[in-house]
Amino acid sequence: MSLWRDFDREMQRLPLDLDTADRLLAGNVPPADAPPGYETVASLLNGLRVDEGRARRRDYTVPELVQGRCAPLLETKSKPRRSTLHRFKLAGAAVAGALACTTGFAFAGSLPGATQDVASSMLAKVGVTVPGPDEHAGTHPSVRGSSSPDVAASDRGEENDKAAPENGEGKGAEISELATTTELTGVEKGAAISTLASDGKSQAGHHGQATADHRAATNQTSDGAATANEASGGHSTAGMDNAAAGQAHRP
Amino acid sequence: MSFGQDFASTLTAARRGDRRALADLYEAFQPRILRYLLTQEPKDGEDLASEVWLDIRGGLNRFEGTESDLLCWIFTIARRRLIDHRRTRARRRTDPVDMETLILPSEELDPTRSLEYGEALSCLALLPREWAEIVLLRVVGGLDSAEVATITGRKAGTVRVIQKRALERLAALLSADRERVVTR
Repeated sequence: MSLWRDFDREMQRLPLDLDTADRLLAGNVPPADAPPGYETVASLLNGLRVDEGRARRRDYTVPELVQGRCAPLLETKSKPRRSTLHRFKLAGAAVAGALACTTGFAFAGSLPGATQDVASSMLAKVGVTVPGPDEHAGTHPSVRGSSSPDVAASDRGEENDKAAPENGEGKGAEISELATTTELTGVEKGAAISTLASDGKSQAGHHGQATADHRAATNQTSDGAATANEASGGHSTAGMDNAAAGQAHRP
Repeated sequence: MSFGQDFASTLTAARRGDRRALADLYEAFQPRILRYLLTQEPKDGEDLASEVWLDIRGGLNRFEGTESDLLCWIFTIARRRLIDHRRTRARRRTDPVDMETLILPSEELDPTRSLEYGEALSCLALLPREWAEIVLLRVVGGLDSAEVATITGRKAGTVRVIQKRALERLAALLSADRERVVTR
């Protein structure tokens, strides 16, 4: 069972229609003329409403910022924040630019050798033909980055490549044979091997005898020359040069 | 305050940076902006109003329209500033507010007497935030329902329904409070 004040309260407040609510909010309805139950609401809304006349009399101090004295400060706008999507776009553009540049360099053949090789093979897969790393090398073999014996051989030339193994093997075998079969020993054996290895240029084993031998040779040459001179009645010139040379070499 | 025929000249002068014109605009709109912001953010309302005026000063050269459009534009800025402020505050630690500051006025309510601002504010705090915002824009901002709809991004019909429900809720709250005072 409802209390008497429940009926009273329901009777006090009429349903509010949209237009009346609009007029109440616009301030067109004074509290005394408000629908039953809405007098307090009308006065509440009047309490919220700004009293224009009182606000004018309050004599607001207009901030200097609004008056334009600090206008230059307002011109310096903060840097707008970039969204994540914008950053992705930038990253995508950078990647696309890098790809375009790389492809361009690949077409020009200006990339480093390995990079050009990779770019050439990758672009070939998509049907684009770009020069390889050795495109401009002609018939010259690629020696880039290689240190194999073949490269060293090619640096010396093909003729040397062919001759060197034969000379090396023949001479070595000959020296080896001499070393194992000779009956010489000591200094004489070493001198013989050295002489063979150096094609007679080695002076090994002759240390300390060169002057004596030379002197003996000079004397022998001079003696021979004197005999020849006597036999030819003074017309022979044999040994003269050697004699002179021997004289010159005499200390 | 209405500029009437002087609005165009005032706006043009304000764009040039004329101090008198800017002061006129400030005096015309600041009370409403300040009350609108203070009603919803009592502690930071004045700071927010200052920021609103910075935005107004910066964007005045781009504004085109009538006085009503200017009012709508200003309250759009104020509302966005308010939303930004609340969003920023939500990320930080908040200051708890005592419920006692939000209770209904316990004085005898005389329907013929205009409620004071603080009392009206206490009543309004009991409404949902969206409803209270629409009521404030209508009453404090002096905007019509179509302009409020533009500012809040709702349909005009929706705004009208919300404001009707808000007034009904206020009436119910106030009558209940009055009944409580009478039966005490």
